[in-house]
Amino acid sequence: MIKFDHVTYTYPDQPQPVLHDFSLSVEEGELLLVIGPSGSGKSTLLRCLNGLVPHFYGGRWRGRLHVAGRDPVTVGPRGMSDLVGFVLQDPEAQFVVDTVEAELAFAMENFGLPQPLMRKRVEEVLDQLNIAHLRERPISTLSGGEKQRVAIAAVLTLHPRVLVLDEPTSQLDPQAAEEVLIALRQLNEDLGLTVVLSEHRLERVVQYADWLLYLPGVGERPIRGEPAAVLAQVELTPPLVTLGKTLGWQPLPLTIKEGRRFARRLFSAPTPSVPSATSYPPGRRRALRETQESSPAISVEGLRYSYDGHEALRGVNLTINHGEFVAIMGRNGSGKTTLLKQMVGLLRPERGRVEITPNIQPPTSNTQSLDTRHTSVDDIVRYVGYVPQDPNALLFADTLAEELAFTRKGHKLPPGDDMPLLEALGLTEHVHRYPRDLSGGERQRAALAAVLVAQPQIILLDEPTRGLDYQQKRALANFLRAQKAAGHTVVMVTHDVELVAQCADRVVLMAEGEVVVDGPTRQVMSDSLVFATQVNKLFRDPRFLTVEDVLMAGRLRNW
Amino acid sequence: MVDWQSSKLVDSADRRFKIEATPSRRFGERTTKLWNTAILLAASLVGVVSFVYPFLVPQQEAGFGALAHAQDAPWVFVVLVALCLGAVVGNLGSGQMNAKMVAMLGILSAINAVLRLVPGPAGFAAVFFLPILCGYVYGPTFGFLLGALSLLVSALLGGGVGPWLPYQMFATGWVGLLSALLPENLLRHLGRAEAALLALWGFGMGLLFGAVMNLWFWPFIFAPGQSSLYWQTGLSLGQTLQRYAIFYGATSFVWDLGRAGGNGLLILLFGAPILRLLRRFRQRFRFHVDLVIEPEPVRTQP
Amino acid sequence: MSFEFRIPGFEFMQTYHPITWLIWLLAATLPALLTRNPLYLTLLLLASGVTYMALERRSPAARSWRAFVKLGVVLLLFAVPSNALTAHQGRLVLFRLPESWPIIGGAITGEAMLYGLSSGLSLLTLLLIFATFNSAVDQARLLRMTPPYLYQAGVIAAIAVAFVPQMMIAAQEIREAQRIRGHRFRGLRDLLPLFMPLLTTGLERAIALAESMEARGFGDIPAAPSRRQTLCRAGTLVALLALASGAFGSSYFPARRTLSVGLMTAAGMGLLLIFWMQGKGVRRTRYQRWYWRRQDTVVSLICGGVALVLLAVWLARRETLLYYPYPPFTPWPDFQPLLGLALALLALPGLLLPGTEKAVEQKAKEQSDYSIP
Repeated sequence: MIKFDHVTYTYPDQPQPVLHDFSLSVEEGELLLVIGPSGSGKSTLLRCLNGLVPHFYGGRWRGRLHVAGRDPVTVGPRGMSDLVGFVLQDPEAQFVVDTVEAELAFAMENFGLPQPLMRKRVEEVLDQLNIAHLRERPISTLSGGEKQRVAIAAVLTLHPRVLVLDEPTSQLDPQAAEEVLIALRQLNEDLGLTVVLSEHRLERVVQYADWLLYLPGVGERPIRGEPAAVLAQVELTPPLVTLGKTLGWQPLPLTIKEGRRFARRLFSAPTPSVPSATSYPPGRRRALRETQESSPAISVEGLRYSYDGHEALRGVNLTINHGEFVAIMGRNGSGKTTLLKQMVGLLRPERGRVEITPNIQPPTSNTQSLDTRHTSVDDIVRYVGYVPQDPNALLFADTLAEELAFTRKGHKLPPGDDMPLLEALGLTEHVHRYPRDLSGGERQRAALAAVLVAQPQIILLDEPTRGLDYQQKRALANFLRAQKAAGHTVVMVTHDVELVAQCADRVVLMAEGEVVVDGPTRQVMSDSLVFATQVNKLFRDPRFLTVEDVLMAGRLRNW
Repeated sequence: MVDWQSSKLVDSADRRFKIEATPSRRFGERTTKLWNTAILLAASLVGVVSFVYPFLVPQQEAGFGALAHAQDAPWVFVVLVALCLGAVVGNLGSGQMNAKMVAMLGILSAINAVLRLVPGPAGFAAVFFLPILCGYVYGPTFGFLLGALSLLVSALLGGGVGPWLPYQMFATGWVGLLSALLPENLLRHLGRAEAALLALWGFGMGLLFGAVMNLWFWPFIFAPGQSSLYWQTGLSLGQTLQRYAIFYGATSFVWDLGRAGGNGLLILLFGAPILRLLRRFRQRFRFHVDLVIEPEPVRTQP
Repeated sequence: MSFEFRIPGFEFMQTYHPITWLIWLLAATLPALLTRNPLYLTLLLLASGVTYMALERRSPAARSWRAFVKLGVVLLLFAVPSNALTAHQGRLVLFRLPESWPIIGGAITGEAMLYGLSSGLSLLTLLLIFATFNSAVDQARLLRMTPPYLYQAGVIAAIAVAFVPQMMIAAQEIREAQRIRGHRFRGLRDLLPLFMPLLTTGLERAIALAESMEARGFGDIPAAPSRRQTLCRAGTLVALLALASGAFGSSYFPARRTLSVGLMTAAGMGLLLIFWMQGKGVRRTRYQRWYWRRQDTVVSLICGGVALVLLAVWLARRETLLYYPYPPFTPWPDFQPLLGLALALLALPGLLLPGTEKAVEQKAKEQSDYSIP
């Protein structure tokens, strides 16, 4: 079906080829998952399949490629569009028209299909992807997951034989990602479509893949094989697989179900069905006590807020102390981002109040609390830093150094040495680069740098892990832990349970504008169905949230 | 560069519909440009005549026929300008626009429409700001289309489709187009002065646009009568110009001054960084794709 | 002007087919542009007013066009005094201002006020007609009706309409993000950190959008200009030149007016023919789900009839349409009852609109008719 034959491709302005002497063959009906660090050529590879590379970008091409009997290099993207459907990463940037139905018809209009045929295919595709209830909706009102499903439907109308997706779930939250991946699996299994997709978050999709292709980047050979075999050779993998590799489980388990067999054999003592709150490793208990003694940094009382007639926050009570690391989790629309914005003063409470108490050393007798209702944003941001979801909203200057200087100027700070911060974030080589030329993960870090240069005591992060691969997430976790160790308070809104398990002291679960659960990480996460880490789901034991927990316990038992 | 072959393919499920795969190429660029220029000039001639017809009517005219013409003329000329717009846009579209241009024009028109929300006369001045800069960097076709279409989109989404829309589209398109005629290769070496010159240009354009657009309203509101403000069919060119000048001065000159000033100010303040950005993206967009397909080396083994 | 941006599509329930509304628009705009006779204009105003109010009840979209109507009233109020103060002709002198005053000095006459009134009325009517049309037809869907040879412009406009809500949300996010960095909007210069990220994000998304479009088969530049294309281009050029000369001639050579008008008409027809020919070369279809109902036929026929009546009057008895109160003509307008009836018929679309409940029923029935078994 797909055959790469010694393909070498170089982008126009780059000296090194992205794909070098690359050969690959994919049979019809297979699901191929492409993984690898950022910048390793995954996107390029996927775009070869429908001719965007090399026609859209130019450059130098050598080698042969056949996709379903046609040569994309000869025929170009238009010629491939009826055979290969291509879905991009950004749900915002794929739609030409404003309503769903019209969008589905766009591809067919380009080919001049007659009206009755278009009607028929639109109806079919709406049912296939289960979006019939969305047909008249304007696309701007859809959620991320719905948008991606509409994008898949839009390419499906031409009845392609291959579906190619470039990180389709990286901008989505876990539920939406699940919807999209289930749809893809259905298309692959029920319709026999060949699916080629690239992903960072392997947990959800690796068990469905027939083949895994690992692109390590420039200079190393790609590895292709069955998922378990390839993952055994790859460094950055989901926690379950990492555990399996470390403990030498054969064959490598990819799902919780497979992992249970091995997990059961590990600890002979039966795991309690109800986690006991006192079963904490000693280190954690000490840390908890420390934070309980310190003063509140943010205190939210009876907060109510609504906009557009919709009640976003319904009486939230929350106290966050200095030096704590709090993770706020919950479904989309539960009010998490609104709460963060209230904490930084971008929004004012309708009822109730939010008070920020800066930690001024040495502590004076009357340390003033800032009530967000009566304080301007300028005063609040001296102590509170907010990093928004989309780093693109922040970055505009010509160089990274200018971005940092802009924040300094805005906060009326004197120019200073930014190098320590940049080193900690791994951005030293990018100081004089145009920030929008950076890749997704680097941009997240650049946005972080741009906000943290003002050295706020309280750091608020909104979904910092969107689009990051495992390596970048690990680096971010280390950075945040260092910030906490330096005495900062960190409040993070996220969907990423693994990150929360690694960094956070406390987890707050929100739903429908209210706080549902508020407690120590271990307790909350081990008591939850949805917000549990892979390791936790494996062992169902509050002692084991992360891979390190298991290994530490194992060491204690002298395996 | 490689010579393409087209391949005809048949979709097996729906046999009646052949899907031809003709790869894109741009042939005869110079002839295309010549045709475009010619058609644009001819269309502009029509546009100019429709705008300035009040000045053209000769002295001997009087009586019933004159009045009749005076009343029909605005309607007739709106139709003419609309036809011209159709001719120009259609001609520019055929054979020159690929997905990159369409996507860029669409999104920039959206941004232009959002810019119109900036309060005060600056809002309407902001409509010129992007067409001038984009026309300057990306060329006359792009500038014209951006000017005309962003006004259309603005009208569709907020301002309303009114009878003056064809005129506005044409005039704004012209603003974008004229800006492309400025010698970019020379001016880009001037540094900060480049933005200042463009600002001056923008100011001038704003005033010109205002003066020209008022021509639409002028005969419509005021009657052929014997007053110093009115357009009258029996006057000479000089006298008519004089009357128009008074009219313009009394009514909207101040407003137009504000608008043109706003336009110039915006370009002065934001011109330099935006030009840098547009030039960066000119490279990224690769409107001219340079593709080299290397022949395969001879294989010694099968 | 109203600057409210509506997200199109959501609130719209089809009132009539867009073609019907276009015919109505044509039939209503013709008299508004052709006559200044205040009696006819009032009738026309009432007819469109009835239609507009019927729409307002039906669709919330109509309310956003009120600004249009307000503009018309403002222009009316502007035209009356400006005419009265500057034209100093007529027999009904109301009062006199000293002659020495520039421009406004002289007799203030009733005829001048009447003329101002009629001019303003004509503009107001025009604006009301367009307001009605704008609120009846979803402009974003109007884009789906662009003629085939203009399809790229249609797609550009569609993209723009689709992206405006997104850009506005992005603008809001940018404003908040920059606020946190201590950025305050103090002067025009501070717009830069707000505008640059917006523009950059827009351009980045444009690249992604272009990829998505090409991947779905959009955009096909033919290898070489075909003979048909060259023919069309030459034809366009000739037609445009003819149009220009005709327009010039009709103003500058009044004696040869029929010739000029004939030239313009011929050139116009030629252009339309060329557009149609170019459209034939475009291998694209349009997906539309507009339903043509019985009301549409009725309304279209009647409005078409009105337009024809008006054209006949214009050709045959133009005097009734003209209104020029100054001497030597009389300030009392002419009135033909049949023409008045024709104009009143333009209220038909408003009168025939079914109530909201019935419209919902009708819509549900139509959708179920098209369901795939």
